[in-house]
Amino acid sequence: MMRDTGLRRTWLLTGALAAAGVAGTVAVGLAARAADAGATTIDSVVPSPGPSGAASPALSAGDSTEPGQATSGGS
Amino acid sequence: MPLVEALSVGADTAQWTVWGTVARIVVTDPARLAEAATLVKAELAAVDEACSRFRADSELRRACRAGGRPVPVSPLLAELVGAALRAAAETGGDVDPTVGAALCGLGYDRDFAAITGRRVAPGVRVFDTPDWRSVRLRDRELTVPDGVLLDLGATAKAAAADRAAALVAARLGTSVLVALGGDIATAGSSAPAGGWRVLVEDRPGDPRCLVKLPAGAALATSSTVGRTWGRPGELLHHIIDPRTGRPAPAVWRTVSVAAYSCLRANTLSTAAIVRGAGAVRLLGSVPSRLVTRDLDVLRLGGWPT
Repeated sequence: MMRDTGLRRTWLLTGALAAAGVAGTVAVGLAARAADAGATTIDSVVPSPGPSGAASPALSAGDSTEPGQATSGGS
Repeated sequence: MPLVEALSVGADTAQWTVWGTVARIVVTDPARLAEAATLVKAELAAVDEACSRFRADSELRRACRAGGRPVPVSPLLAELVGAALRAAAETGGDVDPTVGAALCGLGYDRDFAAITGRRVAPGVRVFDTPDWRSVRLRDRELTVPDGVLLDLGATAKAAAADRAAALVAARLGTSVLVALGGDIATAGSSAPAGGWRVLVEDRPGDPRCLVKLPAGAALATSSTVGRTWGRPGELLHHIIDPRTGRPAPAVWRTVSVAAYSCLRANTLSTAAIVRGAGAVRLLGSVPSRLVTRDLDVLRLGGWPT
């Protein structure tokens, strides 16, 4: 009787571990797919190196009290 | 309403109106300012003659009237059309030069200064936009399908800023900033101490910031509130979604992008407007600033705070 109970518990534990493993695998797969979706793809821009080899120019913040030399507004 | 430049004009700066907006140049050597302004005006005139869709005598209009036959074009028009087609390819068709007829149908059929205040808003009309891949450019031979009107507005103004800045730096040996409305290009080996100071602000009262561009950098801003027309409650803007033939939904009020050419920056800022919520993914790590309709500001790619 005690042996049957022990076997049943073993099977239950094994089943639970297996289910958890499958769920984990699925979760990892879904996460990987989501990561792929968010990664750079053909829909994203291709860096266009400048004279220094950098992909994009490094902007710095100006002091708001300084006068601007030009305005970039919507045109 | 187009950009109105309110910044002061010093000894190193010249400013005039062109293409329904403001042209402004700043040079590091004020002694070359007059020559620089002459060069820039000539360059803009050449671009206008080559590709204005508002001039019946422009090369572009002649090519569009050729009934689908190939026509030889100048090196300048070939370069500008090539730039427009590359922008279309790089953005998956978001920036499409074949939207000319759609813009005309919506009322934007002449220089913007001339349509300001016109009450034109065919709100329920939808215009087909031909695919940019139907346009053929082989070396200096251009074929525009019969009935298609090209509009290079999204790319030609930016390319003109790049060309004009490069021309001034090469001919006069001075570093220069050329601003055409929202499109800013710089050229030359140096910039003023700390960088070229650019105020980024769409309409008066919008969120604003001052950024400094290193020598050779460019910046472009596209807006869904900048060039608008129509009637109260039904204003149209000039950035067309080629998939609908209508102004793109205004997910963003303003998008500004920095790059190493103004053409590149404008291509991305225009595509971001068209792509709406997909703009963040499109721009990725490119320095950019997006303003929502509620005036919230999103900065990407190291855009300074």
